[in-house]
Amino acid sequence: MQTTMASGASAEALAVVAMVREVQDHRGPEIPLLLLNCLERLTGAGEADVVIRRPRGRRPTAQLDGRTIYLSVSHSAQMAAATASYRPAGIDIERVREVRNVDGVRAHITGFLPRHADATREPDAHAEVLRAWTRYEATVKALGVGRALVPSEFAGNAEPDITFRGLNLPLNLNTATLHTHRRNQHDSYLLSVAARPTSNVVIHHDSDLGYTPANHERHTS
Amino acid sequence: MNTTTVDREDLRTLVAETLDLDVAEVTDTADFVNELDVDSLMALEVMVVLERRYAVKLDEKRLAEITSLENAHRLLTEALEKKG
Repeated sequence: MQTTMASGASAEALAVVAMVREVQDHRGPEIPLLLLNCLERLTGAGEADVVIRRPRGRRPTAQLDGRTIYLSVSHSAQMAAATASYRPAGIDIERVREVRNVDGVRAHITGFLPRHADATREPDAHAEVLRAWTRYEATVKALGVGRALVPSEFAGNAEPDITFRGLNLPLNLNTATLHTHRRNQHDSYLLSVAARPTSNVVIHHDSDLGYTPANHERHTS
Repeated sequence: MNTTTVDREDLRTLVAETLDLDVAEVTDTADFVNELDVDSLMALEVMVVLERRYAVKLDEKRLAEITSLENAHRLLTEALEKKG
């Protein structure tokens, strides 16, 4: 199943292919395979044609016919998510859970909390903080800076724009909720993708995953 | 009591409680991310817990350094020394 999170030009260069799936062991081969599947969907190229580079402390990339493909990957509990795109993008997924000292953590990420009256609100403070955290992580991954930019430096951010020290960043954020039912256990996950505003973000996910696009940004489809 | 002293065992217990881990798992050098499955938000949760417990402000830019009990202890000790 695929879900379009953002509309825009459909040219290959604007495509952001995202995939999310359940994994048994995030240290095993499932996550590299997920990245390869993203690459395949984006480029049509097989495993043998691409070289993936994962330099320590820097974002992973792939090279295909002299072009750089940007990769981003995230995992939480039993789910993993990844993107492949010709322009930088970032993805983050978090299982909805209790956040300790939620008010203290919340104070660090105010820049990614909903501000507008019509903004999407999560059902409780924990999910709201987790949602904000996925948005922060997706943003710094898209910028390729890791956590060199700390959450509080984004203070003053007003959705849908992402601002850093007063400057609007050329990124849009899309956030969705996923629900899983496995072995009589229900889990929810929050998933954010940060990409250039004109990007066409398509998420591919298993059809048995409950999917709620919880966006309120300008590019909601 | 010297305000710059951080009892390592107290810290171990606090970190283990925060991360929902057995105290024995939190060895001095166990890597939070690679060995204990601690994600980035959990590291921030640890930082906030430490700030409250020890009444000290930790530099958010050093969040990425909280990768083991040993590193958390060093970061906390430095912050307390700075605080005086």
